[in-house]
Amino acid sequence: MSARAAAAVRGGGVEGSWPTTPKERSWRPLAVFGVAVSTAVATWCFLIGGYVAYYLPAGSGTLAMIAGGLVGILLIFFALVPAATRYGVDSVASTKPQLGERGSYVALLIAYVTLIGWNTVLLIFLGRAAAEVLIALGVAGEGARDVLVVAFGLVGVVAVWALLRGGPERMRNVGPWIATSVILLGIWIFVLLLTEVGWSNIVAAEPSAASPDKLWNYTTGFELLVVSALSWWPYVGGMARQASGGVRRAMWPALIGLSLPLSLVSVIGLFAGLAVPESAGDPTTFLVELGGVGSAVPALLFIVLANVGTVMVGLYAVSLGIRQIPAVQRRMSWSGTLLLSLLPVAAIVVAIPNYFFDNIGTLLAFMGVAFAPMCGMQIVDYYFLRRQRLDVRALFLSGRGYRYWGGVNPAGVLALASGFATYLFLLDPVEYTSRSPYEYLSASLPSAVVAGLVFYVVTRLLVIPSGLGGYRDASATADAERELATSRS
Amino acid sequence: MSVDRDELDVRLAEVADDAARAETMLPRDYLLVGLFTLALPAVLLVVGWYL
Repeated sequence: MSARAAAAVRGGGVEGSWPTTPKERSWRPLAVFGVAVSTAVATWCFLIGGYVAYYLPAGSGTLAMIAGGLVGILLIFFALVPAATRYGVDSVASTKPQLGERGSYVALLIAYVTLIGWNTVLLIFLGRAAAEVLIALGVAGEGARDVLVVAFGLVGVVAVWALLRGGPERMRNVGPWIATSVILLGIWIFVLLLTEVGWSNIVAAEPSAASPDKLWNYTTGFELLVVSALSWWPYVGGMARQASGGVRRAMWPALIGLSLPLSLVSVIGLFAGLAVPESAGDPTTFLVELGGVGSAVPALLFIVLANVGTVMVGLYAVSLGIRQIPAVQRRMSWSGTLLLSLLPVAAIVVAIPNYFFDNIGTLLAFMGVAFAPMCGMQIVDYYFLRRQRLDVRALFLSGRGYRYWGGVNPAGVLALASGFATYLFLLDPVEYTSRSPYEYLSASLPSAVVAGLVFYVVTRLLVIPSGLGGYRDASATADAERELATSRS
Repeated sequence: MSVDRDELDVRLAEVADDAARAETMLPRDYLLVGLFTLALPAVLLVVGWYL
């Protein structure tokens, strides 16, 4: 293949919205695991754990968080990984069968807002850590903190853009190193808490804003981790489409890499939130005080490094999403798309860094409301209606099977709406006030189940009888492939 | 037909051909994933409740 042709292929597949071909899927299980861990193990884990510390003590909080992380990844895995590894599609493209060609722009919008949100949180966090380093070393005074946070946040924006301009290969190479660094950082913070605060004090610490209802607190701790894991939705398709060798090779690296590190590092945030309640899990607020300048500075630099890695993964995913818009795919370079994805982040970092950072709970809530129904709908469609067969041509060529009515599938719209309504009925995601049976069922799981059921019923009653959506073709293809497999064996 | 469209057609044919032959998860895989992401959390939640 000529250099020009190779560049064109890269432009369409690995760095574009077109599906990756089997040859382009170059990530082996270890690379998938490394990227999964570096996606999950971000400094946001400390903030998530700090949030759980409002409601649960160390012992029950630890187990509820591990359980929540695993259940959240279950939804994400079945919604995305089998389809993404088989067809080389990213998260947004994988919603076209459910939402329709134009309806999938809803998924794009949700993913875009989510990724912009997380990238902004991480870059402000990066700015805070870098500012803390300079203040701890006496290079800058306390009064310069806000300016430094903004300045270093912007430096982070430029660094991430420069690193990712060369394509996702950089992400694969950098990811495992960053994951290792963050895990070491987490271990160091844990040791610091043990030596300076003491295990018995951490275990005995009471949550700072617990409800009188023990079951409600327990469910909320679980729910927060389910929601956090669901927020990987935009990342996971972009990761899985690069995995070589199909779903069975990518399965365990993705499942383990995305779930356990999230929960375990978040548990350190839980301990920090219990030990230093005013920190809300944010290590930049207590590292210097607890560890002294000599050990805090390397730890803060680890935070800077880790956040750069995670923003790279997020930026790659959001840029792929934007390239679903045909005009962007045709006219804008990869580098330009990256800049377009970073502009809103830079604007927030400059305009409202502290306000944004202090309201992370609202961002988390938004993700639960959005992604739980999305996952429920995708799982039901892929497994129970399409028998694991998609029409890859209809995913990328307009006017084919996923056109539905005017480019929108009403089954998908109704499913999402019913899932949103279910979540909001059970749990007000901003105030964290709830209605029964939230304390028994949580909010994300019922929301996913309701969305899946509504999608199934409307598809059976309306879409399939209309001959739309390619369901008959999917069924015929599945039967033909099964017969072929039987005859071969 | 544009060059872009030609490239896309070639790419889609390659992906579709590979997908038709792709290995899917086996029943044993579903069982293990279920144990890891449903049974294990259930046990953890029960134990955590009594801590």
